[in-house]
Amino acid sequence: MQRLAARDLWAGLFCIAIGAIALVLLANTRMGAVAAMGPGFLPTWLARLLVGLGVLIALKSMLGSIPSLTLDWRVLRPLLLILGAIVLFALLLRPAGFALTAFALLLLAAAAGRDFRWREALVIAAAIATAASLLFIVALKINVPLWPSWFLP
Amino acid sequence: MSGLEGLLQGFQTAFAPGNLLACFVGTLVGTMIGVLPGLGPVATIAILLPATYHLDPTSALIMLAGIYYGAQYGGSTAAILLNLPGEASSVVTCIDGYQMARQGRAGKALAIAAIGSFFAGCVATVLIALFSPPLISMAQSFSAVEYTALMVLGLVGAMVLAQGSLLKAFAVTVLGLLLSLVGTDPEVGTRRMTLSLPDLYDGIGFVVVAMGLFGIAEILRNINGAQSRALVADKLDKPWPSGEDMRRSVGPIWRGTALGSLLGVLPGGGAILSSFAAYALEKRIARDPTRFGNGAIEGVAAPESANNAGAQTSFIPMLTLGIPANAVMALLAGALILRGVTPGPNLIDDRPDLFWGVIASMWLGNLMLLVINLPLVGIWAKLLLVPYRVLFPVILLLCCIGVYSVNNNTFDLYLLAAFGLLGFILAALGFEAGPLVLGYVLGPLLEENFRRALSLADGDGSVFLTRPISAGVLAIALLLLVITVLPAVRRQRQTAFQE
Repeated sequence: MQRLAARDLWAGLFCIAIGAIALVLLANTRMGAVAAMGPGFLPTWLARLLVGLGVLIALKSMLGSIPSLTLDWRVLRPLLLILGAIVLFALLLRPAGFALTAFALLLLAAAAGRDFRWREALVIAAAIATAASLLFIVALKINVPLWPSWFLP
Repeated sequence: MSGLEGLLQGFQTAFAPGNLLACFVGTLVGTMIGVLPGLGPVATIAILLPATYHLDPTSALIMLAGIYYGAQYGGSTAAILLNLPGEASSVVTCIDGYQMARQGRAGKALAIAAIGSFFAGCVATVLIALFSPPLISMAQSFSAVEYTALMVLGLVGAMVLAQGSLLKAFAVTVLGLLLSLVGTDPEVGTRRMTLSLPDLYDGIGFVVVAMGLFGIAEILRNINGAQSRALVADKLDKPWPSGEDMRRSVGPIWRGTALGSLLGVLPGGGAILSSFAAYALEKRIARDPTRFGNGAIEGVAAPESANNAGAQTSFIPMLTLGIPANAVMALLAGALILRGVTPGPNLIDDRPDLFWGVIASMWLGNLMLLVINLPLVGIWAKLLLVPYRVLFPVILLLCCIGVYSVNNNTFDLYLLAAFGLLGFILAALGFEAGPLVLGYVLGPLLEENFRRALSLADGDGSVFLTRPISAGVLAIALLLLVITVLPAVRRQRQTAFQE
């Protein structure tokens, strides 16, 4: 119960934060009148509503006792590796070509798993990167270079 | 054009070689991906969305619908063979289906699931053909006021049926609406919440949102889960029910179909609600309720028929009113809008080929599930054994390629990572992503209609209550909310989700 309450407190704070960010971004957008709504009308009211709901969720979680905010840090490793793999894919795709980029993504993502085995991951990543290159670049002809530009004359 | 005439025309469209192939590939690939652990229909559709880009809208929707049925059937396969529901709609199938598998009757459970689904699919196809045209002629007289009210009802329905607290479902819906308004205002051209990034001027891509919230977030959730899996049966028994099984299943299949068809049309409804309700009904009217939970074939037949019927009739609000009733329909509507086809009451006149073709292909897709997938069940069972640590990097790669290939833009990939993070945070904080996607798809439509309604009424908000249809629809929405907060229903809703 204590853990659920802490989760709801975070949830409330999260809504307040997102709503507040939206309100800051919308500060200079014209509201207009109800009969002639400006571009800012609906988003601003939605953002205010989100802040209000966040306050309610947070208050409700504090009924009884004030929960302590805790976070399980073990979830961060896979999170960072998976998101990192996507960002790496975006950074490498143009300069390094599809084959190497796919290989890097597969390897980095595999490292996020629980029982990561180096040798197995290397073999599988190489095999799947090859298969994906054949499928997407050779067969489906997606508009991406296969190799880095300096690799082939 | 009457419903049955339209249906005939639809079959001509559906039997065109390209569409036939789209339907076949959709059901096959849908089953293949859907059977994989941790990938339910929503995630499967999200991941495969970009694969339909080079198709024309009709073939694309036929393929996506096929993917939907396939993924659902794949989910049932995983539920029966592994006690591992791919998603919520096959949770109840686990209860008796897995017990049947442990008793060496896995093939019979899978067969009755397919037969029940097929029967339900046939009935639902006819129902859609019969009820869509009158509903559409009614909808064609709707103004912006009625549309606004209907969309509010759709959003309320999604909130009410989401798991967990209503307040949080409300918040996440609002978040979805807010995100949908990022980008250039369609009426006056002002840029909103774009952080001055040119890549955001056109708003956040729908595929990115869907794939981040469902595909990536799903991977992150499953990575941390325990992954010990074992098939119950090494060798499957013949996938065909005995005479006794058939006799027992006829009633449940009928009742499941009727219940599912009805519940599928409700906003927020669809497959999940239908399967839970059908199982509960069978258990209640059974002569010997203790058989349930111990491998009763009725406990597989009823929910599987119901979820397929519900899955299919949930197309009705999307195809006729343009208002998706659940997350899957939101994805399909999003896919159509992306191609410049706006689902709604004009669809039947503007694109009769698409409208009727898709409906006819539903029946065809169900037939394919029955005659193609059932013999392949052994292969699907093998797929279930691929370890997750091998699987998820591949899924991630597919997501990245899919998102990139939509616009050939690396910015979309950074957004994908951001929405993956958002999906992870939402799950960790106990928010459900379903209502967010619905809000995201409905947001621009809601703003457009809300604006128009109020500007025509000179800013007088009472217009929503003085027009009878709008008032009625809003009253239903209010009723839904009131019922949900009543303590008795709240308790039952909790137990229903826990079962």
